[in-house]
Amino acid sequence: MKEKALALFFLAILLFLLPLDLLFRQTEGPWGLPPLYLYLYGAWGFVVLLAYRFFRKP
Amino acid sequence: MSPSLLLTSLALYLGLLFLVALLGEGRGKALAQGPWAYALSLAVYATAWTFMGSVGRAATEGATFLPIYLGPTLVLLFWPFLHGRLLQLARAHRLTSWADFLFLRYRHPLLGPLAAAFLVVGLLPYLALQLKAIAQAFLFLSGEKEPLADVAFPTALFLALFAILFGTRRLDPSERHQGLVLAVAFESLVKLLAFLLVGVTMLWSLGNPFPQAQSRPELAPLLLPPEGLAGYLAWVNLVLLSGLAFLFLPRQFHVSVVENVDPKHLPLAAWAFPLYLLLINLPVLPLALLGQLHLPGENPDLYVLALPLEISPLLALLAFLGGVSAATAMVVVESLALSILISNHLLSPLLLRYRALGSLLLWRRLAILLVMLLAYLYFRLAGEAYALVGMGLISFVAVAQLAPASLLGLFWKGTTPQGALAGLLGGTALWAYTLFLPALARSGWLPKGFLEGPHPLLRPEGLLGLSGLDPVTHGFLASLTLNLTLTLGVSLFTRQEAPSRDRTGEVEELAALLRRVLGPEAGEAFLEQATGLRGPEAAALAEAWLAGSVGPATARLLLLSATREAPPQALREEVEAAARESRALRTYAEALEAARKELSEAYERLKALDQAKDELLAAVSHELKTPLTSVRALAEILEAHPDLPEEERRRFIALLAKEAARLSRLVDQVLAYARLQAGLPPALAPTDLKGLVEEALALVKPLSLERGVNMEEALEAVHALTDRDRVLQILLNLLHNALRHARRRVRLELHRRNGEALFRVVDDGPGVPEEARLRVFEPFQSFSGGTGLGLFLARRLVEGLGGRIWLENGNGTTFAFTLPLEVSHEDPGGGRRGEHPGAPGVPPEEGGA
Repeated sequence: MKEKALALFFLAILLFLLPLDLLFRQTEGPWGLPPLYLYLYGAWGFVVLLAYRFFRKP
Repeated sequence: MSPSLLLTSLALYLGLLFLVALLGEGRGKALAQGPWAYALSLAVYATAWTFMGSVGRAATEGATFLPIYLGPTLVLLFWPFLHGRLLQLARAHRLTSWADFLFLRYRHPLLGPLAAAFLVVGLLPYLALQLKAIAQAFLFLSGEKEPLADVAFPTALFLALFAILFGTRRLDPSERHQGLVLAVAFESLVKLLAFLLVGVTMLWSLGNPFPQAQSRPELAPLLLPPEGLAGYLAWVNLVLLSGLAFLFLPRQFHVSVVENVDPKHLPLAAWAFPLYLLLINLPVLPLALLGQLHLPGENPDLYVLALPLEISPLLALLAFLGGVSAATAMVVVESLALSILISNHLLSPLLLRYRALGSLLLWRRLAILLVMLLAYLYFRLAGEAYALVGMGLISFVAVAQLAPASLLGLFWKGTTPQGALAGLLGGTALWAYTLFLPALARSGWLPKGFLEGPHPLLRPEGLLGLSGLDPVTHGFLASLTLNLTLTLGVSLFTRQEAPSRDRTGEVEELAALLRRVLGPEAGEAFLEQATGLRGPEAAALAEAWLAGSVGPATARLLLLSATREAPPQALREEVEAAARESRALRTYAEALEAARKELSEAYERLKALDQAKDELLAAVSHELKTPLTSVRALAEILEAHPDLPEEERRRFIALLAKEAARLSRLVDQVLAYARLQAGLPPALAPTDLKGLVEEALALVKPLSLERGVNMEEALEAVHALTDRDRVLQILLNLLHNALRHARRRVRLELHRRNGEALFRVVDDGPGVPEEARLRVFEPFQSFSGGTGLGLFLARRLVEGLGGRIWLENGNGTTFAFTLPLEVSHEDPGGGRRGEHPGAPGVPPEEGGA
């Protein structure tokens, strides 16, 4: 459990603290939504999903 | 919207909250103690700042509202290392706050009070923010513009009452408050549902804002990441800052650690709470963009209310109640947590000094009221200078000052109390200089010139000439850097103080102390739990109980009266080691004593054997000397008198032969005895005992014929696992003995009896005199000119084969002996130990067989 938590923690740091300014320079992306928010909410959701998979069973 | 409708709604909502809390303390207790209530209670993090301020921030600064929720997500993913460990510590020491931890870790009398005072001051803006949110929302919806307030005042009073009722019923703040937890969880649900409903309805009613926003160049920055290095730095800072705030905010410690009933709830919270944050942030950007598109002149912090008001007053009322729920949950838990800090670290040492500790619960309740009033004052005096988010962030930076001392204290043993104190003082001072005082200056409480600083390098919002950073990022970076540097630096250059000696005391005395301070129930409960504990353990338990109620510093002082210093750990270890060694030594000594006894017995046996051998040698020498003397004398006579008459000569030669035969027999038996003593094991083999007896009879037949003795036999067919030669030797010895004493008849019997072979050799001789019966099996006890070794050898041989031999009563002489049909244990020289039924020579019926 501890190893998984640690790995997920570092993955989340990497996803949340990317130099976003270099990656997202457009205001319009898929479905007309801003790519920055699509990425941030997507990465957040992915982390929550992994946390659910890792921690749902004690 | 009618103010009376708003007020009624507010009152009804607060009443409902009251009922939910009552439910939590009654029928809904199980629900309040469940993992979902725990996860939802963590959402007390999402305050009015989230509900209204996030939309305001998104509408003005774009994506920077998100890091405030990404930080807590990161921290909660790390739960096995942080919250898991904190829960263990909190359970062991009944911690109620980080200030308790600092005192416990560093034992410095200033750290706890300093942290407590600083948190109270630092969090007042945050509490004021909640009151401001309620007041602002109320005024906005009711259409009144001035004065901004005073619905905030009665609300603050009601919330203080609520916190007093459901959070301070007893003195022990480390006990769980199910009503409070259920109310907070309920409010978390209300604000999430209200926010999502407002977002979905707005999108449904006003349409997708993104295409319009993308066509408006002035809104483009809201859809793009923060620009440049400063923007990235601000992003990272906000993630770090919010993560630290989530960990160190007193209300978060209270709900996540103090109110936790089961550590197993953490794994669920580790994904459910981030999911909650994700969901509650989904409508933020759409609402912000809709606000910018449809309400360009409106205060962005009020978009959440203004937008629904365009559609439906009912929806606006729902949004208002969502905002209220976000604010009230925070206010109740935070004021309770702060009151515990105040009472445990600031008031209880004073009350103890003035012998008024009994009024601590009253003071804790007053502290809640005081905190609420101070927050209200702050809001009235400085609240209109800053936007919602700005006020919250100042508090976040204040809370983050606990991080270096706490986290280093948790994970690094090298942190010293001096380092922790220096870091906290330095960080606090710089927080005040860079954030708190400038906020007061902006509110007009300090001259505006303060913002310029005494020197260009000392400008409060641009230290060392830094520019381009927003004040919060600047203040956070500066204060935390100084704090961390001082904590590490001073710790490295100060000595680690020897840990204070543990206390020890009697359980009864400690229980009496608890009875006095916490009441009779606590005393009895302590007695129940502490009975059987050692002194230091009982004292530690009592200290934890007291610390949970009156604070760790006061608990330590109280404990002085009922305890004494325990021996130092090293000494205790030495004593325990000595005790262990003593136990080992005792065992060793006992083993040694047993071995000594065994050796002594063996020595006695050896001595007896040696003596027996000496006696035997003497006897053998004596026995050999008689025939040898006769042989020598006869031989000398024959040599000296060659002219002896033939008859005389034959007589002498016959005597010579007789003595030589006697010598030969004696030597044979001595050799047999020597073999026996050599301890050679018997050669066991299946043996036909009847055939063996017949063989023995055949061997003695010439002697019986010579003596004119009739040999009789009564033999059963018996087979045994035994040493054939030794049995034959026994039989021959007994038969020779019988033939020597018999007048006319010798009878030999062999029977199977009770799993044994029973031999009986009977003669009709004069029998053994009564006085000699006991010595008949002793060596060299001859009563008829024999060697005196035959019966002795027979006994040793019988015993060596696991049997018994005895002399029976009756006419003539009857020797009987038994042999086991299968030998389980043999003693080549000494008989069957432990199984021998009685003394040798005593028949079983007399010897106890």
